[in-house]
Amino acid sequence: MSSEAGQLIEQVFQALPPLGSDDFLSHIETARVCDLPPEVLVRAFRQLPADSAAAEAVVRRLFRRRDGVWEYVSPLVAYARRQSSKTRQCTYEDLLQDAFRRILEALPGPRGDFAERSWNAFCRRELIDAWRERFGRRGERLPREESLEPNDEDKATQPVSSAEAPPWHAFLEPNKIIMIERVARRVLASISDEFVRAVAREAWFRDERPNISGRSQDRVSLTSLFSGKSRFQIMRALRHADAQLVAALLMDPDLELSPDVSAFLRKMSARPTRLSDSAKEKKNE
Amino acid sequence: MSEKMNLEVLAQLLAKVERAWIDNGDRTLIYQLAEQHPEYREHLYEFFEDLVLEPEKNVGEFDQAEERLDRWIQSSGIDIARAAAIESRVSPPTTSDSPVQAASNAEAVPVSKKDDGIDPSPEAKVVTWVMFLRRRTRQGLPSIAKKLENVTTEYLVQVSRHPNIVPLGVRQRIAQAVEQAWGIPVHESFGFLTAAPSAVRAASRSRAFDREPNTFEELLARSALTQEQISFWLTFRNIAK
Repeated sequence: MSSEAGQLIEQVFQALPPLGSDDFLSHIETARVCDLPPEVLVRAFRQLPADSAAAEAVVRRLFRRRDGVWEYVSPLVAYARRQSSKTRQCTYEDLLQDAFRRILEALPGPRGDFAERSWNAFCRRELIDAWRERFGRRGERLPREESLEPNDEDKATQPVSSAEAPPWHAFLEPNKIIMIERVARRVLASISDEFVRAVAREAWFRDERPNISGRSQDRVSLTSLFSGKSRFQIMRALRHADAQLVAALLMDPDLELSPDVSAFLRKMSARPTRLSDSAKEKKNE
Repeated sequence: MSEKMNLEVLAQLLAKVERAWIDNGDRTLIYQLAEQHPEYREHLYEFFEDLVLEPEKNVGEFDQAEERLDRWIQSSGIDIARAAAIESRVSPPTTSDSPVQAASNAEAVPVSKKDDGIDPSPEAKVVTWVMFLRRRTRQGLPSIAKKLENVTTEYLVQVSRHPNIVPLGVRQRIAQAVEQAWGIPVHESFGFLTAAPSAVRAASRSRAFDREPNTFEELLARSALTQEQISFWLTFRNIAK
């Protein structure tokens, strides 16, 4: 972990109310995700008395799900969904439960040290291990007819939220559109993969965002524009490009997170989990 | 999940991506890392996308599964974390000093430090049966569950937590299975299965679970057992030697 990263986590950790106090419990319950990094929660958990109410509250917060959204394990959940789609079986719940169990068991021990530094990387590692434990390192315990390789058609039916996001024209004031287009062009130029760049160009700069597939008199589809590519490849490219665009928008110093921009980012499924995003939001409030 | 994939190397790369993004807003490190480690390219890209974008909401099949998992976390997951934490506190793992004096130090659990401490004396009662098993077998709970028939990790945790509602015949059967598997005498397991361990009483919670199981049937329902396994344990309900 870089010293800067360590400092950031250290600062938030030091600013916590006394561990185990009523204020601490209240803070753990009410703080926003972007103000309370998971690494801080993990560190608090590992320092609290094992059987204390505070330790339990911290674990509950780490795994809290509100209005259908997991506050701290969303990246893990997204990955588990994709992994389970490879087996064509109802393994999603089992796989995610295996991963949760591994995480819960590892947190207080030596393996949990990694979670104090990089929570999401730690969770991902535990899920990959859970998958291997269930299906074997090479997937040798997968049902015989199943392949380890992604099945294009199956994957194509997986929902990719950002694929349905509308273009910014429909949401934003003209000056914001210019600003976002400037950022988008910068992101486009930074994408080295020609195909991803081409998909992003089509998806971002048409007046209306194209559908992934299907025939419509009103709208062109990406599968028709990229006839040599599968739906999965197109969705994969679009998701990659959208993540880069969202990341660039969140980091743009000139772009104020006004309600319309925030709404647009929500449409793009941006996750507001960075500390600096929190500061930016507060500045714009 | 390539056979050749070195999970530790990948985890370190993912950690770099995560910290670069969260601490510095760096979205391009993945390109550098993918160039240096092309074998992990897709993993790196996917990980970054998952960090930045939310998964789709309200997807029926996933929603239902996640609701069940949410309930599982509340009913069993917390206990699993607690059991692991109590055990690990024998040698505290923390990497740095606490920034503040923990107001709850007084709540510290007096875990017996006798590694093979079998004596379930009153002051040692905070050592639960699952902790005892883990120490004696030197295996994790999932491995223990795997070796015993008709049990799940959740079932072991629930039995350990609520032995007072587990019928005598069931406790005998499970203690015998432990004896057969690892040679741990039945009476030693029974030392931990005679009353609810004080360390896991609901009174110590900030907020109660949805509701503690009051009957053995409720306990079974929370234990992620198959119907066949539930039937198996119910047959021992009225059997006590």
